[in-house]
Amino acid sequence: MEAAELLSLNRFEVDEEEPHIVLDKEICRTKCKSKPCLVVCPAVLYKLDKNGDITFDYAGCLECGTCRVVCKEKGITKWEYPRGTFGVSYRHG
Amino acid sequence: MSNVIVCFKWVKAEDDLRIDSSTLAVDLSKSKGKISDYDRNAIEAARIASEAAGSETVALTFGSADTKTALKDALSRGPKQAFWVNDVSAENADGFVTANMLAAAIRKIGSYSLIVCGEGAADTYAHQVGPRIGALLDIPVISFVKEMRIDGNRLYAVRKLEDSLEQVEADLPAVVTVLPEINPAPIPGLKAVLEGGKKPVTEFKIQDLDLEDGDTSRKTDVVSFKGCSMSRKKILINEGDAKERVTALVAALKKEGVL
Amino acid sequence: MSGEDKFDVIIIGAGPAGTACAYTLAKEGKNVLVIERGVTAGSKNVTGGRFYTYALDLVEPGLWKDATLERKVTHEQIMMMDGNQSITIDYSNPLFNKEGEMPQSFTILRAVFDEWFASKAEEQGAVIACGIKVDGLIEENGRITGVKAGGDEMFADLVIAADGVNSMIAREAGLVPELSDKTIGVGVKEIIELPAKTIEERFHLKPGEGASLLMLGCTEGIHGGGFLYTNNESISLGCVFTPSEAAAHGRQVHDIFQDLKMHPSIYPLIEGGKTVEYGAHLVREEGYRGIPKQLYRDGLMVIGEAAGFVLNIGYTIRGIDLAIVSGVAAARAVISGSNPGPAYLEELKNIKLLPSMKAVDGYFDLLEIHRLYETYPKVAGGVFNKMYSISGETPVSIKKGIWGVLKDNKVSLWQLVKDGIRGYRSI
Ligand SMILES: Cc1cc2nc3c(=O)[nH]c(=O)nc-3n(C[C@H](O)[C@H](O)[C@H](O)COP(=O)(O)OP(=O)(O)OC[C@H]3O[C@@H](n4cnc5c(N)ncnc54)[C@H](O)[C@@H]3O)c2cc1C
Ligand code: SF4
Repeated sequence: MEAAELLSLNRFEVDEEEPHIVLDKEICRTKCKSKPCLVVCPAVLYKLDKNGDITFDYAGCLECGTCRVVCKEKGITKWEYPRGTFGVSYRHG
Repeated sequence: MSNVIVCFKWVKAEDDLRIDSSTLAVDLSKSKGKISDYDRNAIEAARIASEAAGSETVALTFGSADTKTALKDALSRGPKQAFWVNDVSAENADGFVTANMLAAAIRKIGSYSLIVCGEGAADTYAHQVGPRIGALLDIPVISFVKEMRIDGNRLYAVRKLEDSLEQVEADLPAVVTVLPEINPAPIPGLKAVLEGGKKPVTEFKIQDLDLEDGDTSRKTDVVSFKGCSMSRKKILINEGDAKERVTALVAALKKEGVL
Repeated sequence: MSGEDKFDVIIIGAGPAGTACAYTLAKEGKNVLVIERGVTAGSKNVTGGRFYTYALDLVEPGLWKDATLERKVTHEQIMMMDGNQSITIDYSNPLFNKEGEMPQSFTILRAVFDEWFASKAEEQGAVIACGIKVDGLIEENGRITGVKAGGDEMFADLVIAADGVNSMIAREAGLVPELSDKTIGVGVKEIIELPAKTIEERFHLKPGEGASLLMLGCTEGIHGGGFLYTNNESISLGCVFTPSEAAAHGRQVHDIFQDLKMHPSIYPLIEGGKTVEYGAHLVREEGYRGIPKQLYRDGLMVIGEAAGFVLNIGYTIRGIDLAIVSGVAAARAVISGSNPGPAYLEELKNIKLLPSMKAVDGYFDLLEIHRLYETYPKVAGGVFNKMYSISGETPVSIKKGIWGVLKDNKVSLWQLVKDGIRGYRSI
């Protein structure tokens, strides 16, 4: 199954006002060669667009924290848990 | 000014509903409870109105035993105390029964200047309870309210209709049923949550209320409750070049009456 | 600060560590507040799926009988995979589940379990505030005196960080060092629903019995492995990968996991099931050596996985039980009334947490052997392939066969001996 299809099974309450992960795409483009986020994010939220730039949408985030740990060039300028009650809510876990 | 009473309903979260694709049977057993979405806006609207008028907000609900969690949640959103008509019949009550219960409880609570309800519940969306309460208490009802203001003993409201806005006034006490756009429903913070857990809750049993014979019998019965699935026509237009395909698509859409 | 805004203890996180600690403290009459960012306790938590029951008994004897657990584990399985072939070892021992006694372990779903457990702590008098994220700590003259959440501040004599593997809070306070992408695993997991009867048939279980299955060789050589646990009416199937290696490997962990579902030894187990959830979570993998140097500073204590209390020893993962044990140890330290920092360390020793983690510390070396994740499953597969291939031709001797397989996989005698010694030493 595709990641997007799997994510649609989960319950999410997206915080439209405050993204909990923010990237500086300039850093991702110029400084980061390896772009580990592309393969380690279980939700496959990091993708490359036609120009080779990272695209990212925090809406399907599973809040695992993997991207934060692998991001060596600090392209991720903010990684926090979503504000209380927002984000994923597992029914089973 | 006397109390603003806000009525809210504890419903099953709709995104937890599970619909069997072949039988369309709906499984509610895995659904968690939540305060009906519009009622959260209603609670905030009541809080704002009573704060402006220097009175107190009181929350009221009719629900079965598992509504207990709801009371804490509601109280963390501002009301100073809550009243709970606790009866298992709430689980399949219709608008008639619910309004009878709430109106009886409101009489018991006594003084009130304004009763706020959500425009419709997240589960049934029947628009009945607010108007029926107004009728039972013999006070004015203003529905589809997107703005309101109290000045002395008078209520000024803006109703949102299909494609127009209507300004309405009424003397208090009155019932309003509010739309979610009346105000956002903020998420309670830490202190609010802690206070919510400490505020007083008064529980009524049906016997405690002054009800007449027949007040507790439903006027409508739900005969079946099924999921609905959209069936697609599955028309594939893949012949010819782009222009031909677009022409075929437009023709097909016209034929279906979409265009 | 008014009395209203002050607690004896504030605990950050209603996972097993935080809740066990709150339960124990509240039972002793302490005024405890637990702050949890999920809408309910457990709604943010993903685990593999098995829980060692003794830990709940430590909190309260007999409490496990009331717990929302899934199946008692009666079948322990390890599967080695290479391509489409697989070798499975199935171990069962009735002694782990004697009639009338507490079963050794259960499969578990955390959203369900954590919510139940938190409700039990609440019954003891703990205050549990859900849907609130702690943003930071309040520090006054070098001492932690409270927490900040949204615009609110709340104070306590002691703050306990039970905020799990990422532990943003304990890290901010300088107690927990930054995680390394080499010593953690990212776990991805699906919950696949199946009728209880189907699960029992496929895994040869009686009602209420469950299986735990760990897999090696399903991660395309990346340090890690797969897991499968049978719940009452679903299967937890997942895979854990070391992020640094996954990044170097270059294929999405999601895709590798999806392939595992289609493996000929796994697919029949989940066939016809319906996936109802997709989750992911980090887990620490260093064991004893991952425990931070300091677990306490003035006004702040760290417990659970935030404090490194998790053991991944290949054939099983233990984090939930250790989290609970550490929560109880911290609570006992507070109740003892002596200086909480040293008392906590003392309790961790008394409760046998530190000694048991130290005892298996060597496994980390074993699991470091890279050949474990691809080469050795291949070798094992190759040997079994030779043993079970009967074609009527004259077979090569098993001994010769084994050498052939080792050679095919470029394993030298020297490496084999070295890994063997390292493996033996580590256990
Ligand atoms: C894939 C995988 C498989 C595993 N398999 C097993 C297994 O089979 N058996 C086993 O025993 N262990 C297993 N573990 C390990 C186990 O799940 C963890 O070690 C255990 O859950 C740790 O418990 P804890 O209470 O310390 O932390 P957690 O369970 O992570 O709880 C931390 C809590 O703190 C909350 N929180 C965090 N930050 C904040 C904040 N700022 N404000 C408010 N709340 C906050 C979180 O929402 C969460 O509820 C596995 C882990 C993974 C990832
Ligand atoms: S936290 Fe996990 S799921 Fe969310 S974006 Fe990062 S890697 Fe993906």
